[in-house]
Amino acid sequence: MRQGQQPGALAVIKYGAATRMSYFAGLGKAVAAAIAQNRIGSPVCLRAFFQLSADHGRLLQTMGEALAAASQWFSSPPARVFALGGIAAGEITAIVEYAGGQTALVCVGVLRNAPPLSNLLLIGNRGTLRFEDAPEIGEPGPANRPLLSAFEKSLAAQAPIEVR
Amino acid sequence: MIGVLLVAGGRTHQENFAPLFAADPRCRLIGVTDESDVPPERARWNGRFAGELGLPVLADFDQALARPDVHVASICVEPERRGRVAARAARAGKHLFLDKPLAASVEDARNIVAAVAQAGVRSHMDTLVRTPLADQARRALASGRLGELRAIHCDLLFAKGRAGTAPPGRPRREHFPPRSFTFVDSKREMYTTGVYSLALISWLTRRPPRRVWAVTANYFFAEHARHDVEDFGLIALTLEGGVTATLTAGRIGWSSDPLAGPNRLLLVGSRASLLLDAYRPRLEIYADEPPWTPPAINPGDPMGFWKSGQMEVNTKPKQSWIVPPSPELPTEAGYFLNCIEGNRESDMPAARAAEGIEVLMAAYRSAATGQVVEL
Repeated sequence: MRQGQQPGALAVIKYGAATRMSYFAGLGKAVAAAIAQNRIGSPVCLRAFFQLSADHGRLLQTMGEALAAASQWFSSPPARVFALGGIAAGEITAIVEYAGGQTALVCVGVLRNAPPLSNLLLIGNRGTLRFEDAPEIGEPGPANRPLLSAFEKSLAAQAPIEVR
Repeated sequence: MIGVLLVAGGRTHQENFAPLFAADPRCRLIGVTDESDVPPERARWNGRFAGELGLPVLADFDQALARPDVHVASICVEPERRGRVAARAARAGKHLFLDKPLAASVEDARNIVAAVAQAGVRSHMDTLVRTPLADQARRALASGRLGELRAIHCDLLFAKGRAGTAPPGRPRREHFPPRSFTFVDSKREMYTTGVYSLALISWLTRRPPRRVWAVTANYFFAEHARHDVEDFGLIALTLEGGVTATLTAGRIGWSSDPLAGPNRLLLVGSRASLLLDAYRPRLEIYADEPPWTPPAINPGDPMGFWKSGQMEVNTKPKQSWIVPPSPELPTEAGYFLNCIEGNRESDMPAARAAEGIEVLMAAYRSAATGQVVEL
């Protein structure tokens, strides 16, 4: 750890409407930059919670965007996904295993009580990166379609699905 | 006066339990005992611990259990010995205060449960349910303000050990059944840490798990890789009624957290969600003062598992985050003494703890096969 840098201090991340970048795209790039600077070693596990919209119809889109952001942080491609929860219940969870053994555990829920929740803990083999926000979300951004498709299949099958 | 017999001593959680019993005016510590054939190193730690507390070493385990002034056995032997040791203590008519996890196999766990039932004694496993975080969660669920519970997500990761030494890029291959659980320099972390969150989930929801899926990994430590045990585990459960539960458990390195490690809980209800963090509210202090540095590696306890091991290398407390005092809750020991005095069942008896072992073993089976395991 560098002199004067406090563990757990939130990184200052610039994103959002000012740059006309979607929320997750901005977040994804900021985290990727921290990873590129080797601040936490090799990312090995992501734990993330998002409750951004009261609309059940946006759950999958949010999951797809979150997975798209997350997948750029790991050094290997997604290999398997396991889905839990359900759209009707307003809570879906994706567990993604990457080819290199890394894991991402992403929970997306309907926003039922203010404020919105955007919370991630990215664990590296030599440190952790945390991000907390209560954002107002604008237009949707790009989703990871193959991973989202595997997620939907897993949700239907209630079993892990290989990502192709 | 309730007599407490300490089964195993130093370099176990007895270092935490014994002072709690000793501080309770209802208790008297009787002595330290263990099985007669323990390795010399274990016998040495037991003797040293007894000496530090001014207690006798009671060399004959059965005679120690037969003493009429012993009412409670505080059992902290290695997981692989817990099944037979706890069952023997129960059959001797002693109430059991049990280190977690309950046992190293489903069979051992069931033996303990059967012995407890047969002897009619009380039992209790140490967990983290008597903490402000658990208490807040329990009160939130009981109030009904979250609505119907839809999901519960727990993270408990300990910031100890020198991370970054695990061989990179080698996905872990799990084996089933797991055979060894603890070494001087490593533990199976899904087992030893995940049990806390499994107990919390069970305690809060009272819903048995129906489906289990898990992943284990070696992300951080060469020590764990060398012994082929995981330093990280992830478990996904579907509880009775379709409630989703997930947990992450492991050890992430001394410098990976400003305090003890992430410890948080997200409750998702049909009306509201609640994210609880064991370290919120907190004071955060950043100042022109020397930064905290990890302790020197203690060859006798390289991961800082034990209070004694940390003291030997003069481990300094981290000071950036300060958590204000919470309303006082009973200690695990005090709670169990209340149960004994009130002749009532603990909320974490051996029977419930045994359910946790069933889930953990299903999780290891899932991690080894890659399949969902039905319970």
